[in-house]
Amino acid sequence: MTAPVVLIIEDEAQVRLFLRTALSAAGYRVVEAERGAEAATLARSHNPALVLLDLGLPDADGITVTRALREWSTSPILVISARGREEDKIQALDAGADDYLTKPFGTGELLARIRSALRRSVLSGSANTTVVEVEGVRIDMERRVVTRDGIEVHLKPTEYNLLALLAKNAGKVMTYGQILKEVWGPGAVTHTHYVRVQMAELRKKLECDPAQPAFLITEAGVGYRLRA
Amino acid sequence: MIALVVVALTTLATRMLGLAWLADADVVLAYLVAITIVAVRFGIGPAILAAAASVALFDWFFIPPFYTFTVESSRHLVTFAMMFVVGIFVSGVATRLQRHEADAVERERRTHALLALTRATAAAGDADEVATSLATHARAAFEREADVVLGDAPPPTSPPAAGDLVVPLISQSRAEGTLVLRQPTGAPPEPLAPHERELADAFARQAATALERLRLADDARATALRRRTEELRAALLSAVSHDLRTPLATITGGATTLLQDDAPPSEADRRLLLEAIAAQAFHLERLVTSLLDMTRVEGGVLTLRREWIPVEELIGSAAAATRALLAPRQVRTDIAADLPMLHVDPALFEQVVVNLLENAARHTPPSAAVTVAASVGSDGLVLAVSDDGPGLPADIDVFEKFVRGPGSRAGGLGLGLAICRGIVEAHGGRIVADRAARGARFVITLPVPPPPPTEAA
Repeated sequence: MTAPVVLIIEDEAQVRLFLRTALSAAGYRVVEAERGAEAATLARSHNPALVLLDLGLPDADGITVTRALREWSTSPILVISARGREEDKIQALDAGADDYLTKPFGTGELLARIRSALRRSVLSGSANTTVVEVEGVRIDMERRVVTRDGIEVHLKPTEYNLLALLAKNAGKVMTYGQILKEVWGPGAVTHTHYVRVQMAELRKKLECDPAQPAFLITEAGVGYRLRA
Repeated sequence: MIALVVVALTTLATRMLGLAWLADADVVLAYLVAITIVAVRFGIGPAILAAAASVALFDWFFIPPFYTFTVESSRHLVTFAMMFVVGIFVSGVATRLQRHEADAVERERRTHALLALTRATAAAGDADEVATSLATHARAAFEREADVVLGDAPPPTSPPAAGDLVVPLISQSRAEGTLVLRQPTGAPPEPLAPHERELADAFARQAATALERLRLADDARATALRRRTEELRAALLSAVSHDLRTPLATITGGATTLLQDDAPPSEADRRLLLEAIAAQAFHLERLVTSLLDMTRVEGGVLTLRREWIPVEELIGSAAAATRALLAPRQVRTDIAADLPMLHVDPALFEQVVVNLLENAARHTPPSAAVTVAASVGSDGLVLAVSDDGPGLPADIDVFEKFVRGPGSRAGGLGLGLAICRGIVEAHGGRIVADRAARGARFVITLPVPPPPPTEAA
C-alpha cells in the first residue's frame, strides 16, 4: 500500500519544515506549495489524500482555494488558522473545509486530526453509513431510530434532524451556518440560538452530563461536531 | 397734568378751609406739601411745574389784590421766590432719595440674580451644565431670550440680529464662550440699560470663571490619568519582559544545547530538554494570548458579538478547554434547571470561565474539587466558580492588572482576573471574589435580558 499523499499549502518556510518533518516521520508523502496558484496545479497532478491549508496565504485567501479545490476534489481539507481569525475559519468550513487547527498546535493533535479526516473520507467513500454508535447511543438513520443503552429515545423532528446531520458528518465540524441551512432552511442562517437550544435539548436526552458532553461537542464560536 | 391737578386741589382745599383762620404761611406750607408729593410720585419735571403753578395760584387766590396777578407788596415777591426755590429744592431731594431707593432695589435684584447664577454654576458638573444654567438665569434676569455658545469660535444657533447683545465669556486664560441676549421679538429695538449691561457683564464673568474652573479640573484629571497610565505601562513592561524572557531562556538554551555537535547531550537529557522546550513554548503562548486579550479589553475596542447561548453550553466548552490543565481535578457542574439563556459574546464569556478554571488549576493541589454553579438570583443570573484550595490572599485586589498571589509558582502575568473583570463589565455584569468562602470563589452576576424570539414551532 502506497503512503497517502498530503498537500501542504503554507507560505512560511519554518512552519512547512515542521509540518513536513512531522508528516514524513508519520509515514505520509508530502507535497508542498507556497502559494495558492501553485497549489491548484499540484493538487491536480498529485491528487492528494488530504490537503493542509494555511488561511494566511499572501496571494489568495484560503476560502478561494477551498472553493477551487471543492469544485473537483472530495479529499478532506484541514485548514490552519491563527487565533483571533475565527471568521476566516468559519468561512473556510462553510466553503467545504472539513476541520481546522488553530496555531500554535502540537504534532500529536495534527496527526490525530489527519488520521480522523482520512478515516472519515474512506468510510464515506466505501459505503453509506446508516448507523452511528457512540457512547452507548445508537443512531439508525435508515429507520430514524435513536436508542440510548438499548432503550429508544424519543426525539422531536428538529432534534432528530440536527442529530442525524451531525451523525452523517460524524467527526467533521459543522458550522452554525451549515446546520441552520440544512435543518432550518436558508432563511434561518443567522439564528444561531435555534441550534443552541436544540443542542441543549439533545444533550439533556442523550448525554450523561449535559454540561460536560462526551460526544455532542461544542466547537467554540464555530459550531458542533459529533465525536466519532 | 396730574401735577396741575394736585396743585389745583390744594388751592381748592386751602381756599375752602377759608381765608378765615389760615395765615399766608400755612397756605405756603400746604403748597410745599403738594409740590413734595408731586416730586415723590412723578419726579423732578412735574415738581417744577407744580412749583410754578403753586406760585401762580397762591398769587391769584391768596395775595391781595385777589384774583389778579398784580402784586401789591414787594414782600410777597420775596415769598414767591422763596416758595419756588424751596419747592424745587424739596422736590430735588425727594426725587434723589427715591432714585437711591430704586437703585438699592435694583442692586439687590442684581445681587440676587448673580448669586443664584453663582450657586448654579458652582454646582455644575460640566461645561454644558454651566451653559444651560447661564442661559436659564439670563432669561430670568433680563426677560429676554438668551443663547449660550461654548468655545472660542462662536457659531450661535441663529446669528445675532440688530439689538441683540453679544457678551463674550472671557476667563483669565481665554474666551470660554459667548452669551447672546436676544432682542425681544415684536418689540421695537431697545438697548439694555447701563446697569443691565453691567449685570450681563457680571454674568459673563461668573460663567467664564466657572467654565475655566471645570476646564482646569479636567486638565488635572487628564494629567493624573496620564501619569497612572505611564506607571501601568512601566509595570507592564517590567512584568512582561521578565515573564516572557523566562520561557524564552529555556527554549533558546534548550534548543542550542541540542544543536551542540561537539558535546551532544545524552538521550535522556535530550528528552528532558525537548520536553522543557515544548512546555515553555506552550506557556509562552498562554502569556502572549492573555496579553493580547488584555489589550483588547483595555483598548476599548472590545466589540461584543452577542449571541444567545445556554449556560450549560458555555460552561461545558470552558470546562472542555481546561480539562487537560485541570486533570486530575474533576470539575463538578451544578446548574439550576430552566435557567434563562445568556445573551453574551460566547468566545469572550467562555474566556472568563476558562480564566477562572485556569486559576483553580494553578492555585490548588491536585486533590482539589472545582465547582461551576449557575442559578438565578435577585440581580440576575449568578455564575460561581469555586474550589476548596488555599483560598485568596488577603489584602490584595486580585482583579488589578499584574497582581499575582504571593508565592505564585505558575509564572502567569497576573492578567487573568483583570481580563475577566473587563469582559464581565463590558457585558454589564459584575464579578467579585467571595472572601467568606472556604477556598477561592468568584461570583459573576449578569443581568438577564428578555428572552430571544423562539422559532415558530
